[in-house]
Amino acid sequence: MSADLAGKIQSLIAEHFGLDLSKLTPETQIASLGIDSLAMIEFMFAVEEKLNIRMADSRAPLVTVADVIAEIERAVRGQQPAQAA
Amino acid sequence: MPEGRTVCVTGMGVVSPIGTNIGEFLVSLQNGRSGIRALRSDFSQRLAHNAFGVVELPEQLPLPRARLAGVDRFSAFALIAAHEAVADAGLAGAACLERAVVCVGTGLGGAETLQHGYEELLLRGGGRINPLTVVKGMNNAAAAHIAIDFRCHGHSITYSTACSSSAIAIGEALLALRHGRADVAIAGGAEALLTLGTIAAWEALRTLAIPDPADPATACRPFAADRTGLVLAEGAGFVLLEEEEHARARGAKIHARLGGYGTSTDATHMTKPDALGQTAAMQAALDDAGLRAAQIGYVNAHGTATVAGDIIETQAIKQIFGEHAKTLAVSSTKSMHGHLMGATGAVEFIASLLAMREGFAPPTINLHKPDPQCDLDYVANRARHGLQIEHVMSNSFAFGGSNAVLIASRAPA
Repeated sequence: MSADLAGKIQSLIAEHFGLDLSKLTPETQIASLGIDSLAMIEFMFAVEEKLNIRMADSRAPLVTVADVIAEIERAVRGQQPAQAA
Repeated sequence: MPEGRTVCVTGMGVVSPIGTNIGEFLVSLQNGRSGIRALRSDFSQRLAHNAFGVVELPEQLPLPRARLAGVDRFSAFALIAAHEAVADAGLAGAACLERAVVCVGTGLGGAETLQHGYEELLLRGGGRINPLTVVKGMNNAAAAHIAIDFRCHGHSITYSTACSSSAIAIGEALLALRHGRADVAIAGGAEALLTLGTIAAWEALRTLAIPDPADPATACRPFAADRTGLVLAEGAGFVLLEEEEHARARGAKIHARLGGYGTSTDATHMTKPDALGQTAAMQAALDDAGLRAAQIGYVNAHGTATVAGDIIETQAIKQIFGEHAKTLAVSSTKSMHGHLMGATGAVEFIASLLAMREGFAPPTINLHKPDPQCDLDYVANRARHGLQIEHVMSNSFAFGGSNAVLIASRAPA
């Protein structure tokens, strides 16, 4: 489930910013992709609309793609009822 | 003749419905190619008529695509055209850009951002709106983005005078350089207003062209008896202006000298143009350039294809040019690219520079039924090649009556 979501988020990043998906890894630094903080704010807003989630207003800086995935996963899990593993 | 230093054009960049770089734009002008077509969008079925000058951005851009994230379409056009102009001038990464001034014309700025913002807020409830609405939507966004990309610390000013915005931006940049505020200016304009709200507003004014739905490419018919109004379009045009000694010292390629900038205000009516205002602006530009009317080889008319506007501009041109008006080549390139509003002055100024450099007069296309009240030589339908043009004039006569005329001349070798 989590791997699916991670893959989906990487696709969203690639599509939103016009990047080559094959060059994205969880370790990729956001700044190295030419994406600044303002563009990232807008991307997260678009993800909220697309996945129908709300992320916390204040959050730790998102340095890598893995940070972005983790932030989104937290919000998705927050929306889901507790499940057996 | 004006006081102050001589200024020249060392770079050009364009994004338009007939070409998303200077090379393509030039070929379209030379071949009389129309870029007017039906807009394909989620609101097309709500439009009374569908013929617009639409930009299709190519895959390859002169800057990374990621740079355009979080940027309104009008700023994206501005960045692409400005990057082309700076590269054309050979100034990418140049230290002299640090003191450059940035002068941008736009009519409606971030129109698409505002449209989406209102839709989110009013139609979808929830009180949510894109957090970047302010920084994307504000009219000065394009100028700010250009200054950021090229690290320009001189003034960055956005001019909003409707259809003459970018002609005025170029003219004001000329004044800044003449008076030593900088040695280099990035000047032009951008517009991306093909949104439902903007189009509906223009439809309500009853001044848009009524196209043949089977052939929208022929919708814009300046000076023709069967003209029905203007065709809205989007895009951007930017030039690098440079103090001439500065340009020669670094061995820059000089496209032309920008010698004349004339302005006036009609002060008569919000939309109906006034011949007195137009003649005043043209005469002011000639005086500024130190030229006689008969020395002008080509005029790029404002020529929006409105019923009244084309007649008034014809009369004004006859007033200024007298006998010379009978043989003067006058054309409206809006017939091909449409009315780019805040960007149109810059795009048409660039068309005029290309005409002079390549020795041709771009055509007024769709001119198959002449109007007896518009009887100048409008270079009907086919470009005229093999011309020796020493000086060109580009007219921009706006709603609200802010008129601007630019005159450029061939630079000495």
